[in-house]
Amino acid sequence: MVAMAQPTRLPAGELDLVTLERARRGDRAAFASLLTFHQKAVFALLSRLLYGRDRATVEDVAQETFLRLHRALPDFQPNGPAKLSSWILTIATRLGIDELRRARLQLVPLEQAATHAATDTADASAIATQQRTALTAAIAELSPDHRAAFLLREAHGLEYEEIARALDVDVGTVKSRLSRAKEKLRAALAPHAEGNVS
Amino acid sequence: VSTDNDQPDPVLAAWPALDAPDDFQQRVMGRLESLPATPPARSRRPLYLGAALATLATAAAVLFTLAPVDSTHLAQARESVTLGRRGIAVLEAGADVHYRVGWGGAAEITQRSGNVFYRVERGGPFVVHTPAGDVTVHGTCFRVEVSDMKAVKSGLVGASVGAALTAAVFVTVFEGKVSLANPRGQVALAAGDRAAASGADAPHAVADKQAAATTPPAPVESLANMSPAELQKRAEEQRTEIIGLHDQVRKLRADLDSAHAALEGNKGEKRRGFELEPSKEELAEMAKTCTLKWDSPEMGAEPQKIGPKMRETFKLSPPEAESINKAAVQLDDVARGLRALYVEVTGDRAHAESMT
Repeated sequence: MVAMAQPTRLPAGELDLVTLERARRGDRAAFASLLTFHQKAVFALLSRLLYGRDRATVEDVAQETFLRLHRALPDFQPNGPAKLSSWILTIATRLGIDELRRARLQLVPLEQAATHAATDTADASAIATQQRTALTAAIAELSPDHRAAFLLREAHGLEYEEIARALDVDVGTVKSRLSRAKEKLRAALAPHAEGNVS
Repeated sequence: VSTDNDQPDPVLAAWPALDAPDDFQQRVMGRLESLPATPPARSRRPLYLGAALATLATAAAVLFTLAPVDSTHLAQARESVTLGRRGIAVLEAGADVHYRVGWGGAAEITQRSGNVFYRVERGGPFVVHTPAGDVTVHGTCFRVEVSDMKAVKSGLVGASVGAALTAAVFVTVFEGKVSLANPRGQVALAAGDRAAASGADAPHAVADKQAAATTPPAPVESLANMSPAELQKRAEEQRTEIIGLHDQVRKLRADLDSAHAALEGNKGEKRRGFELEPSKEELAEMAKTCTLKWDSPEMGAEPQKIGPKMRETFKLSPPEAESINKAAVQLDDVARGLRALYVEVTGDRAHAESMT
């Protein structure tokens, strides 16, 4: 039997280790690659977490996320317990929650939100106004921590332990927050789901 | 990382996510350019190397310290000798010492002659063999003088090498405890004690207490060679030591006074036969909490009087017995008053009579 050398497989959604190591050593080009690789996830998280805030706020928090990441990257341990993607989302989550707590959420008027969504996502135009109204109300009822727990788990697939680290709470608390958030959000959409959401 | 594209969740589908603007990367990198360069990731190799070198150096130092030492000294003049990690010996002229400190720290000194002051550190057995007996150390600071008999008669000064049979050893303890032993016996010595032994005699304490108070010798460096600063420092150290000794004396005197006072107090109690004799301080404490204490015979239903039999037992004279009986009657009156007061306050007549 012949043993074949296999290339190291990277986990899905993870940057290659060479680029990461170069970025850790201060290589700006490598950091630019890292940024490009992770910016989509950061924006997806922050734009939902800061739902109701204007786009400029989301971009500011996203930018601050990467500036902090750049400062902290030399201390990141590639062989440590945290994946880089989870670590970045943790930074973004904490900054997003700080932003939410800085002032009460100012929800965007529905008409503006509809226009906003239609401009930024192609599929969003199909979402019914009632559905969006219900969701907006449900999101507004969720605390920043509940909102973050839901997004990190359902939208970004983080493990319970990773979410617990990101929110600095125990796993049990994460599970209860998730359960509560799901219940509220799905309940808000349930009356409109049939025929409206595919 | 999963994104909304991977999620069929209707909530996420209805909860729109924004994409990064096209120039987002340039904006962030532009901000970074305006910031000071980030220090590169620190390689841990130098740290490990440093730690390894430090460990090696420490190990070498420990090994050097723990390494056995074996040496012989015949002092021509006063000389200070370091006994490995076990202490210091100050040899007077003529002292002849061979010492060995093992890996475990056990020190074995053979002092053939002369006058040597030892200051011993902890770390295992420490024995000084002399021709007239062995000194085993349980303390830290003592002097051993080995003299031939002639030298003893002439005042123990300027010891010289002599035959074992004619040698004598004098031990003076400044701190801690030592024992002096030879085949004829053993004596334990504490701070301030002095003992002697010879080939013909068992070790025994000597009355020359004054010698025990002798100040340990000056360091080997001659005073004349010391700088003014060193002399001043030495004087300060000695002053501090004297103050400490004065404190010890004061404390010992206070302890002695307390012991005397306690002894006198016990005598007083026996003389008076009272159990309650509060001091002034105790009275003050009782006053703070409005505490009342008294010393009296038991209150019975009837006054406890001294009859002829009891008078004989206690060898009391008739007037003494009469006085006691009068007092018992008075106490009975007080007890009745107290019972009445108790009934008035509590209404508990049933238990009033059983109060003692």
